Amino acid sequence: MLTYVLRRLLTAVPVLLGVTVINFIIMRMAPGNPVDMLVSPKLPAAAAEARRLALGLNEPAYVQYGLWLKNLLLHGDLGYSLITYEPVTRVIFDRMGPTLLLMGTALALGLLVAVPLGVLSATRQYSKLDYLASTGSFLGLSVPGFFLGLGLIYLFAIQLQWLPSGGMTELGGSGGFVDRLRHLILPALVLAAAVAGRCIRYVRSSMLEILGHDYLRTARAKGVRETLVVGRHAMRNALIPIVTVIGLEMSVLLGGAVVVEQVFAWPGIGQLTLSSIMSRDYSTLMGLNLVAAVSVIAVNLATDFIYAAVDPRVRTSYEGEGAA
Amino acid sequence: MNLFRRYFSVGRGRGPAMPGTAGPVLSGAGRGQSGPAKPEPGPGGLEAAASGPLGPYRDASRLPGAGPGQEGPGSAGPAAEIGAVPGRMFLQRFQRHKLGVAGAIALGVMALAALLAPLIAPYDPNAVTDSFGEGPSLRHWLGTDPIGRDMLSRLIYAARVSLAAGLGAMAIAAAIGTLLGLIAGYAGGWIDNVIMRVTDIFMAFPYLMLILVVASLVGPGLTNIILILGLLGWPAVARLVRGNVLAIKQADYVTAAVALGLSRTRILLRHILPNTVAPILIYATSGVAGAILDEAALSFLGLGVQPPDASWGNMLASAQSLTVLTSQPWLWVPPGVAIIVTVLAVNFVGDALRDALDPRNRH
Amino acid sequence: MKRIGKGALALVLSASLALVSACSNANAPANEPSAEAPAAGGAKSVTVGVTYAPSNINPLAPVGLVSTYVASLLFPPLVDLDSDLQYKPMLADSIETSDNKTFTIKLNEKAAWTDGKPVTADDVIFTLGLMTNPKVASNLAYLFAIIEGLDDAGFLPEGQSAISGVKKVDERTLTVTVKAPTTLSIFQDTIGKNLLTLPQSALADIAPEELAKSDFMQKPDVTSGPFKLAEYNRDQFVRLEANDAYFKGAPKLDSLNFKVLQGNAVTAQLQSGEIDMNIPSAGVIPVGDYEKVKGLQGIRTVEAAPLATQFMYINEAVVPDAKQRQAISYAMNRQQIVDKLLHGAGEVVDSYFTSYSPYRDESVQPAAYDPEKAKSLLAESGWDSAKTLRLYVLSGDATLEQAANIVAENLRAAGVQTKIQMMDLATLIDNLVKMDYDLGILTVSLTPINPLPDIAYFLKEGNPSGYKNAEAEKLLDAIAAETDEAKIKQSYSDLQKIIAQDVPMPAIYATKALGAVSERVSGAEPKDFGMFINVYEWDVK
Repeated sequence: MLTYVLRRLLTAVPVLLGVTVINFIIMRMAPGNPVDMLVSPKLPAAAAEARRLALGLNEPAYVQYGLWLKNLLLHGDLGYSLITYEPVTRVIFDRMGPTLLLMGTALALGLLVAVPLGVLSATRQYSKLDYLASTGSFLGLSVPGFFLGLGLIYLFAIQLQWLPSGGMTELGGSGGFVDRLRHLILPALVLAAAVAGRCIRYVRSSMLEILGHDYLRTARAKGVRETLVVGRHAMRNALIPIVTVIGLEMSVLLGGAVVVEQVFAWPGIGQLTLSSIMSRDYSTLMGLNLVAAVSVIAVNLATDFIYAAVDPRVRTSYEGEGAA
Repeated sequence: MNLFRRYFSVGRGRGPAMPGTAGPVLSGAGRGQSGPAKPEPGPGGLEAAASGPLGPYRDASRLPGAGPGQEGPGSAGPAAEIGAVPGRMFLQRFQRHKLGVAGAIALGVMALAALLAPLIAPYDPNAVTDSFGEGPSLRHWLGTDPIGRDMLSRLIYAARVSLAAGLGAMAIAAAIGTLLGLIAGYAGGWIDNVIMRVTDIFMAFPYLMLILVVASLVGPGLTNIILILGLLGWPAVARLVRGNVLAIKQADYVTAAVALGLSRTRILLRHILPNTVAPILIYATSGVAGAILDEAALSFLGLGVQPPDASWGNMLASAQSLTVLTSQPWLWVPPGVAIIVTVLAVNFVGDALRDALDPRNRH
Repeated sequence: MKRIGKGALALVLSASLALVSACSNANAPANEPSAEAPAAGGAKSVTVGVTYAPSNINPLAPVGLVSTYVASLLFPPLVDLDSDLQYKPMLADSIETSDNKTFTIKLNEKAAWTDGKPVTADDVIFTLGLMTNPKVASNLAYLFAIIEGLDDAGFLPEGQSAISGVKKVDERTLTVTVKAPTTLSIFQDTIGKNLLTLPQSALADIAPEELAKSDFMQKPDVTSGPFKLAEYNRDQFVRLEANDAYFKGAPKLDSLNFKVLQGNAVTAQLQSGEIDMNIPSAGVIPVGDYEKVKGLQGIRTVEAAPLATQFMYINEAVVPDAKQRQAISYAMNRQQIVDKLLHGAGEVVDSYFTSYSPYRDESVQPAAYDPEKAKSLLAESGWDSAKTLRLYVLSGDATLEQAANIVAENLRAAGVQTKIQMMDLATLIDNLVKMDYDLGILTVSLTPINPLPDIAYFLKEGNPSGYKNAEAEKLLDAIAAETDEAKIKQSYSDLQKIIAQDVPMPAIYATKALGAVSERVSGAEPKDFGMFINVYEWDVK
């Protein structure tokens, strides 16, 4: 197992390196730069040059990349934001919490809806419920997040005035749990609708697959109650693959968060990404993309490790290969 | 224990049973070296691809059963069968899927409207009339936008944008992905290794974030959006195809072709490619839906189709003022509904395709 | 089998639980808005809605409007411009000159830092030194270039340790000598307004190049303004607390907050009472919401002066003939934009001077909408109507985008084909400066007091249009050297006549931003200039 884990971890290194290189190239191809952003075009050339010098933007690109990589590897330092001069690691860390909270809640909510619905519609295949669930899941897949967001704001924030239209806390308010929860509901709902849409059909087909298996038929034939068959045997096995879904959701949700955070003014990674793009804050963007890539890879590795732990054959295929 | 064992062995490469075997993101290299080492009975290829709802995930190959070939491919049986689903049977099966048929009709209407836009649209979509921001009336069925342009005409013209973005992007992604997947799967060795590693890199980026960055860099616009979505959308296809190729390679008829000394290109194009078309097609429909949504999101964020051209996304972007939201619903409801209907229709068609092409559906 | 199955499920569950709980943990310390935040009842607090984030509060290099507002509340400028276009004393009790060459600055006797030390002439001189230090690389330094001893970019030449034009007189007095005679209003408009004095005692040990990254600049804790920084979350809000030792008097409010919002949220939050007021041009209410805001209960609205002006940049390499540029100006239906798109909340303007500017010559009227004239001018100049021009438009402002659509339609009707491309500010400026564009629409706010630096930039050598007119340059030089207001006014008037003929970069319209304030707040007036001069007198009912 250890060899397997090590091997997999090692293969992640060149991928991450590749991510940073591509990142860097893309950034430098961009028209406009943070100096243009900060200064008025009236600024004398000498002043713009001074600023460029101060930001280290006058070095050749590969030197800048080398420096960036060195600081990252030696000090875990992602540099400073070119606009605010805040350490990038701190900026990202501050924004990570809200985004994780949003994604975690959405994932939990989505699964909470998707799992029972998926299981039920599998056990009652072709029933009305099944039909409804799958139509609902298609709807969840097809409604653009920003549209659903606007709709929810219209309904709950403007018409009914039950919930705030955006932000994460009430300014000068208690800032407590209830306050945050009220702000969280709408954006989490938007993301959760998509999660549920993706997962219902998945759980359903996973469940169907297993319900058709011989051992369950045997169990049924032996007179085991249907609820027991479903509850104890089928569901457990059908739900294991959910781990993979969580892994996949990670990258999809991160993307979705950009839009949802924008609509709801949620102070997370997505909002930071958009504003960094707009202000050409290279160093923050580099950091953001790196962190995003690391989280996606980490979650994927984690799901694989979980499976390796469960199924020895996954890792033996690796070990055998190593021995050969 | 034996129940568990059984579940896994059946699940291998089949259906949504055992995700771990489906080829985790970073597995490309290692797997590529080991190759399709363990021929194990069990269906692979399309059937697996067809059974899970691959659509919403880019990295579809990670999903259970999506890419059996990546691990230990099963027999190529079902994959070979796909090609064998005859046209008439396909149609019959497709027709059984009522929502799929409805979706196809809706899409047909949409496509027709897009094609005939200049004939159908009551106004020039960009012409500024003197009635600014007026509600629906006989003169303007869906009202006018804040600068006096006819909403219905814009809605119709915007269909062109969405359909072009969806189809164009997916076509590019499918072309690149198929080519690279074919090469990787068939060549194996270091070529496979390199291609899959590049795929990994692309997949490690959160999709929409990467698109946003690139869109802001190369500048917005429909052509660029199509190119970006297409050029960034291929990795999932590549993995899917590679997995299928690995599976099909084991098939008797391919082994026979190799034994007969047919050229590699010929084997690839004549024998392997046709047998991976179905899973690509199924994946592509959900890809089209995804690309339409992505284009709308980009336009909504101001990085998409450029004014004065209308896109459903940028029409919705104007709905961000309280007044529009509360008292001018004609500005935001129609484009929103149009996106939902289109994407729903594409997804329904995809679902119907899946059912129709799945050889297990014999009933 | 059971064991493994259960184990896997437990793993999944605990993993997702860990994820969820980790979020709330990670989140708690970072963004918990102050447990010690004043409870809603009792404490007096006003919240101002802004639509731009205060990206930093570094007074040496503020990023954007709101950064400047916040920085000025912590570190008052020497003088501040009020809405009547008069400079009011802030940190400086007075700025005087007898020869337009040497300016004597007297600081407020009561001015003190929050750590108890007095604000002295040394602090001002120290700040001037930072501002003009190339290592600090301030984007405001060029405004200080008029001071004797600095180079043209406003930096202290290498090898020198002090600015020769700056002298300390006593603890609270200093003199600044300029290179060439300058009016008091220009001195106030450059140095008086833009020098936000920093505490020498807190910053002396920080290397200039590290200043921007320093803890102090991230969260200044020694300040002198009416409010102190309590909490700063750059994309969400700034919370300020009263500085009872403020030299003009202790603020009546306990706290003043800035809340960063999206445009559409300003209206909604005014309605819900989440914000009490906005800053017209920095807390922009979408034009479409004006009527709604004006109708809100308990909200008083104020129409701000026309300030932000939308200009059409024209690249003369592409549109070389003045007739063609005149045609472009005639083709634009400015009145329709103002009446129907802005619902009257703006004004038609075609040059650098809105009705707010003291230098506007009323005899030079903006070009009227005349598509026929535009067509004939184009025909005369031999314009190729098959040619498509790239029209770059600043993104992020929905109203501007809509206006650009109207303009593009107007131009098409007159026979000039365009292709719109929306661009963020960085890209747009990059293209303008490199002259890699055909037409460009961009918002520019000229300072009403001293528009010369802006206008000189637009008309002199190196301007982004490629425009050249010797007579205009002569007028500009004359204005720069003149200290007599009447003569300056005459020269600006002459300049407007030249511009009307040459049309180097016609303006399209100027917006009158809408200010709104809750009736709960007394003493406060939403306005772009001087809104916070009397902030210490604000109160809530």
